[in-house]
Amino acid sequence: MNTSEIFALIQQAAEIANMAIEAGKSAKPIIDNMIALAKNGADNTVTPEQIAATRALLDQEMAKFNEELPPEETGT
Amino acid sequence: MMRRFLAIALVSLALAGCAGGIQKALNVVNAVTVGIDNPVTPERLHYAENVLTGVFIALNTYKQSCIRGLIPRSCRQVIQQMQIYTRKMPPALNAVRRFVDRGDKVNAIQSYNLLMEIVAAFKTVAAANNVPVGAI
Repeated sequence: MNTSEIFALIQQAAEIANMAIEAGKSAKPIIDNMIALAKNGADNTVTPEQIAATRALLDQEMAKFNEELPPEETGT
Repeated sequence: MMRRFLAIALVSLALAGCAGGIQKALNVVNAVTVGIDNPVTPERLHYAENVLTGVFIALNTYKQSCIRGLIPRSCRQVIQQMQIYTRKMPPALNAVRRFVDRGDKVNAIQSYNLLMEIVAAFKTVAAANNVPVGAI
């Protein structure tokens, strides 16, 4: 493995790390909700605002995943 | 080769971070049998929706890694196979939401169970393709 390959690998690793950080940021509200649910118990009432926020985030993430994949890049 | 291996290992680690915590949670959601004695309450649906949100955040990280060419090209087929089921989820979920919001317990149970069947089928495809969230 030469220097440029090592740099490319580091760049890939950084890219993946950034994606993981972004995923972590997106997941924060749901982690907070899960903690609240765990603390309060399953029978505790959730507010309409919490329900609406979760639904909006879920719908957004589902729509994103369900989008068609872009065409594969060629010649790389 | 080495580069590919490291990239895959890194993506797996990143996704494991997202998916690991929700793994058990979705198993719980999926294992719960709802019925007249155990109806779909707004709280239960809220819990299931939170878990599903975590799953889709992890899946989107996988999809982005695939689009950017950081993981093997076979990921495209895996995503397309999973989309067969994930595209059935929004209408099924909307039906559950509608019935739960109206307090229609009987229809809420039926639609929730249908949603869980789709989730179970999706889990099978993900597990068969070694997608890190596949073990959910």
